[in-house]
Amino acid sequence: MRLFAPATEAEAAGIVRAHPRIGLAIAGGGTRMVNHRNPALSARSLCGVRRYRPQDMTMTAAAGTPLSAIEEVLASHGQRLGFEPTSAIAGRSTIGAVAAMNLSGPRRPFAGSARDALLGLRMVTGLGERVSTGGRVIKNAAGLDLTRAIAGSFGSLAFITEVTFRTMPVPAAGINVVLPGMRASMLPAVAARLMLKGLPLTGAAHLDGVGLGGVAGAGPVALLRFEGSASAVAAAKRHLDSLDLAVAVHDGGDPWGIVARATVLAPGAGQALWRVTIPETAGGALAEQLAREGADVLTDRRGGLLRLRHGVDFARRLAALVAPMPGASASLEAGPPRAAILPDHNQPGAAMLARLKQALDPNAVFVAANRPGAAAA
Amino acid sequence: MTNIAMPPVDQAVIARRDEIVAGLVSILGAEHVISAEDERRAYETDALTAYRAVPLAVALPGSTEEVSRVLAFLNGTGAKVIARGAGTSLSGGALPSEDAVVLGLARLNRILDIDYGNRIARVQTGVTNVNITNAVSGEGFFYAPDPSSQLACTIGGNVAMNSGGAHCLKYGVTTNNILGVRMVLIDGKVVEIGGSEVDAPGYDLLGLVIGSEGQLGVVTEATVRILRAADGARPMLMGFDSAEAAGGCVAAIIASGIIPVAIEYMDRPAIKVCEAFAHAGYPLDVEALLIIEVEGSEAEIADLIAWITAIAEAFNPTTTRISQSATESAAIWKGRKSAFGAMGRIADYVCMDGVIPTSRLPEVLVKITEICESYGLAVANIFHAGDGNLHPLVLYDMNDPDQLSKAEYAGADILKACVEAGGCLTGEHGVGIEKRDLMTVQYSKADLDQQMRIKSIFDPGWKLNPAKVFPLDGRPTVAA
Ligand SMILES: Cc1cc2nc3c(=O)[nH]c(=O)nc-3n(C[C@H](O)[C@H](O)[C@H](O)COP(=O)(O)OP(=O)(O)OC[C@H]3O[C@@H](n4cnc5c(N)ncnc54)[C@H](O)[C@@H]3O)c2cc1C
Repeated sequence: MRLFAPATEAEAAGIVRAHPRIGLAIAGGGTRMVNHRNPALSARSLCGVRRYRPQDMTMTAAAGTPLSAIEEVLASHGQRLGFEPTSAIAGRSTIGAVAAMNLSGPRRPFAGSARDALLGLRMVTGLGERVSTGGRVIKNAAGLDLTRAIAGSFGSLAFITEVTFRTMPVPAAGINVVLPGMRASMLPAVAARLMLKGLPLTGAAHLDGVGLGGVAGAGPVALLRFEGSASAVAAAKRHLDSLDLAVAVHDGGDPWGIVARATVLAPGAGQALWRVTIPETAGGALAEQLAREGADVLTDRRGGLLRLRHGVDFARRLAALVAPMPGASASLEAGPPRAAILPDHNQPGAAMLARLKQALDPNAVFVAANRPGAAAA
Repeated sequence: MTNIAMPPVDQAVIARRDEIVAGLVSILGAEHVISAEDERRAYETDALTAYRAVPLAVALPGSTEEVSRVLAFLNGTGAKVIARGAGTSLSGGALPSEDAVVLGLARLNRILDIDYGNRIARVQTGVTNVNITNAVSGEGFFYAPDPSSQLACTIGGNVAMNSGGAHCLKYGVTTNNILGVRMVLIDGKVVEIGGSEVDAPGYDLLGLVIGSEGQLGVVTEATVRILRAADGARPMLMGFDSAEAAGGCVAAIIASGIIPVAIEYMDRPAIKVCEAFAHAGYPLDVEALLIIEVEGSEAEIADLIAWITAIAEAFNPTTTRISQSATESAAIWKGRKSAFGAMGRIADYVCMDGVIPTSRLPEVLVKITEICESYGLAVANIFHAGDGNLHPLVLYDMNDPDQLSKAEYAGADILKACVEAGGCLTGEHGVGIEKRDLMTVQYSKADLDQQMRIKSIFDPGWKLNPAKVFPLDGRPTVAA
């Protein structure tokens, strides 16, 4: 199998035009290689921050720039990516892959998604054309904006060469707290109540039976994060202390990477790890039900995202549970292919999605990444 | 008189007028079809009033199903279709043509469902922006994007234009606050895009539909994010001796890591007019005024105001006034939100909407003044400084035939300067007809070709709002 790593966008366009079928090596390191019979295209040689003035609150970078390099530059100016991709990704990943996967972390329900922060991008389409979409400033209402459609398309529509993100200031203060003994079904309501109080919640997760890197016991525990001005964070702590709950400050490093990557749920032999996206108010209750049926469950995003580990054969039961729930869907995250939950191709809108493929890659040059649940078009 | 060309009118469609009206009447009933010329005239323009054309007919559907039947019918007639909310577009987005049927959506004015637990509401798209907030404010919630036209403009128009407002600095613009839409395609097919599921796997067509200016379909329902209102909010006023000082202050506040809910800017001509209109207590002896609003608990508001005041010291504000009461806050915002209307009482103007990186604010403001002076025109600036979204109002006299043309040239030069500074043509008012021919300044031919391929796939006959957004030159040939 051949791997192309063009050093310029023009070169990338030439490669796309010369190959009737090409796969995208999404993470710059080639870790998510798609189809070994097709040549693959990597952005890893398109590297470097191209424009960054901190007070503009935007950064433009070549797609192959490692996320770690970007986070480092931002941190040196007291800024960060609000949607928290770092905690969601292990090892080497590129900023282009973050965009292609619409990868967000636990801060997602509070600070928006990768897609929300993505302002514009440059890409090579399936026709081999070099196209820019969106803008390089915080607001842009000029023309049809493909930026958000490319985000999350897993390389099946276009090869991203450059991205522009909105950046956010790092808040002055932050605190993680653990509430032991709380049930998962209470998480959405508790989070809602804290936000009603105006407290600066930026993380709300729940773990059951899996521990939290040794900090909490194996019983059910809620993990909350508050970030904001010093006075706002202090007010949050005071409020929690005033409740009749055993509140412990979690100061053992950053637990959110554990939550985001679900490292505590690594599947063993005969097991699989799935993810369920679901409306927040329904998520907590489903988490409890799954636990009753023997799954190890991690709830994140105030109930909006569940990760669960169970025997491979649980796939069918999970699919049946989720299918009738409005706004919910399940997909396989790690495990053998037979644990996959196929996306519903009869979903309304499937024909609409095909139109997008037709407009950007009419000859199907790009082979969709084989992530379970990714758009198959 | 003006510099913007319109595509030729299709006389064959005009010849079929009676037949088209009869078809619409058979679907909607005579009371919901406007065909008399004097009544159609009410739809001849939007808030870009220098351009007018009386449409062939106006259809007023009352449901998604009626929209669908109307479009399926019109699709066979050759008539063009212009969706219209409240007609407050500042870029000529809702301007009709003589061979077009206007689809007025004001009857789709119901709030369908509110889910406080998941913080979403489903509404028909003829609902006005402010009525969403009115419907949820009793529970302490609001819909965040707040265009100054929010009393009149519809959520459908907001979706079409990706509208913003003063408070979007913190909460994002329309695209960040919409979760799904129901849309009717040109052939009458109804599609659901997005929905209540967050980050569903698969493509996100929603982001493409938002800001598409009625080019892809007619949006009849929207699922919107509602947010919990902060405990309190307080605006403060800061006056400066120069645009440089005010611009520098904005950049310094943002660089310090604070994102206020709003940072609005007015220059001397704008302050004078707004103060005369709203009696908001704006200082009249300053070159530039910032309205900065912060929100949170009492303690947090106090913290933030102290922090901002300290940062501003370095730029020598000549006045600093912190609102002391709800009445005072309301007056401060009334002055800002009625700014365009107040300007309209003293002069005709074209309102520009370019965006620049905030670090370039001072130099671009100087450039704008130079451009307008070179055409012998005056300019007033009132805009969203925190996100670099400029609104220079280029003033002219409608009775002087030469001046509109000059104002348009000045506007074009201003927008080119914004793009050159690393920004874009429009931050929230959309392209419409006004900026259509400038799209080549921001986008290459390949960029525009790609956008037009999308347009063609959704609307192969280019019947939906076709005079807008894309320069007339370089469009694909459309099979009749
Ligand atoms: C005084 C004043 C102040 C303003 N302030 C702001 C501001 O602060 N921020 C801002 O962003 N804008 C502002 N605007 C501009 C304007 O209000 C917005 O663009 C608004 O979103 C238009 O809404 P509308 O309902 O009036 O739409 P219309 O003007 O009727 O239509 C606008 C466009 O949307 C399309 N459209 C309308 N409804 C639909 C639908 N249901 N489906 C598909 N397409 C549709 C139309 O075809 C047209 O292209 C202001 C305008 C005025 C007059």
